[in-house]
Amino acid sequence: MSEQRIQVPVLARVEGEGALDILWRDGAIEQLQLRIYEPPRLFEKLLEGRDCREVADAVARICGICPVAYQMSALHALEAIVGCTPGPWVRAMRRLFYCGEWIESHALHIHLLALPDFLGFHNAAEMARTHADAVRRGLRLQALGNDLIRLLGGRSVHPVGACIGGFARAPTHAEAAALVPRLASACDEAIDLAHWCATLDMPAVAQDFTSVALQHPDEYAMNAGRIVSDRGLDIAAEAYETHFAEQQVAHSTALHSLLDGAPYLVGPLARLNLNRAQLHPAARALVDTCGIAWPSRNPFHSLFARAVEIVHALHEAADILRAYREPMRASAEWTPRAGSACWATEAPRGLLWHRYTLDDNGLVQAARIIPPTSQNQARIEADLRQTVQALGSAISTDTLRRRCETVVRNYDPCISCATHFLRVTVRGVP
Amino acid sequence: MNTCVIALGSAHGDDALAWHIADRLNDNDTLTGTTRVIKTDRIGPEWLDYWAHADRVIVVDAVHTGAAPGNILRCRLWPDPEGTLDAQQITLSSHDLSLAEVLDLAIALEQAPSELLLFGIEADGCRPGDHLSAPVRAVLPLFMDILRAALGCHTTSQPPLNTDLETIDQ
Repeated sequence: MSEQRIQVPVLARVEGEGALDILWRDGAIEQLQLRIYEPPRLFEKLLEGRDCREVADAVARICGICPVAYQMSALHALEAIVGCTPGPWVRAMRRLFYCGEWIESHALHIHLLALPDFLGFHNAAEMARTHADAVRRGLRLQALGNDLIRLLGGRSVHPVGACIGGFARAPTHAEAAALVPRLASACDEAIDLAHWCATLDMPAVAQDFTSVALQHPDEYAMNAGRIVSDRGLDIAAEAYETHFAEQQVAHSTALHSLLDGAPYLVGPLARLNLNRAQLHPAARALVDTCGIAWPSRNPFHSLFARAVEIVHALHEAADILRAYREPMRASAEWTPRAGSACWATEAPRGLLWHRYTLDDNGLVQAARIIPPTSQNQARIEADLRQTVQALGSAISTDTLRRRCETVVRNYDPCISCATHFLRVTVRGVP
Repeated sequence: MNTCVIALGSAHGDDALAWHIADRLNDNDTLTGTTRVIKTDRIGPEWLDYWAHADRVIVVDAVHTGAAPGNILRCRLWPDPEGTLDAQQITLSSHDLSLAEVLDLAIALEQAPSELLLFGIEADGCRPGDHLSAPVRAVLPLFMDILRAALGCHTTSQPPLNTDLETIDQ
């Protein structure tokens, strides 16, 4: 009997705290666990009893990388309950807000977390010694994304500007105009980045997975749309719980989410697989000429997908800001009322679904938040199984460990986001 | 000399000490035009922007070294002739990068400051909702004197920073 145990006690270059254990016995994987041991953060329970006006600022605290996503899913759900329909200015600004987050999150992931894997470095600093210009470009893009968030949110981390009905404050025309030249300049840099990502030496793998994303008839979906898959799913956000189920696993404080009992993929590659026709023309041209056959079955194409989405977000943000007009009001009026509603938006890492129930005074009675990393967790484990099985035991443990870490990081898991909730079952209580 | 003071902390217990100090610097001190004070709750690559025009960076933070609560720690992190700040050995961070990794990145990009100092106070506790502990409150005036002197906005009899690692016992 031969046994090989591969352990990565702390996953580096991911957001949050996780580990990976693989037990390989007699040529087969006996056990494979992506362990998320970061303590549960209990956000759903924390929101209960809070005024619905507090929700946006509270859920922004779930993640320092993707706070906008949490605010957007929450605010749309709450507005559906109170019957508030913000106008086109708010809708455009929310897309701009989201563009900022996609840019900063994707730029961070590509340059500081993922690229070292594909270029053979241990970390971004080591990579910077020979690819300094590329790292500087990544930092510039991240800073620009942060500045877009700051424009509407007041600050880039845990922004406070978004509220039910719109925003607390409208940027001045001068503030908006100041960002346009930087965006225009960054578009060329992002196109170079995408070209570079397309030519990197990626593992040539083909896996069978289901892509899931929002889809909107008129735009590359960010804040609104139906939940669709490449295998026929086409539902409103209200039907999410009919098809998707979360389950607790012993080795993780994050719930695993399954679509009709099977793992699925959310995030930039799933979005490109489903919605690439709606990308900005500059981004679509990259997709059409990159040499990748779409839809892609190679999860490592996520890196290229992120670069393409940076191009899209930069162009869309520039377009929005070029047409910017200061509104009479930055938010629509509303009054509290009881009800329940759910909403999904596209966080940088994929579909982010929220459901809230309010009472007559607008106090939160129940909240449920299903982040993209929870949804991708079963898919990551499925990818790891296929990767390890394909590589076999012939390669060194170090090589296999490094490849497994690369697989996990490729999904850009945001572990802190995924650990909101721990289901506790008490048995034997009289 | 351009100096950037980065006050790293949160609102919780002694972890808030750096923010208290930053507020006092901004509210009560006559800072020279060459000093910039930043309050933040995290370490990340944006620190390269914070210190872009600074010759010297002073990070103010609560520390946990095992010393008695209230102990003042002054430590030169860069230049680091002893090589004690090894980014490869310090990879744990709940957000983005650790301080060692950010410094390593800055060095690789030739964007490191000439000098990076850590001014810390040994924390007693950082529980959510707590205020500053008594040992930290007691040492704040002395700490402020030391920091003001380092920034050149106040004169005191505090000793010069002449070692790479120094603790000042109360």
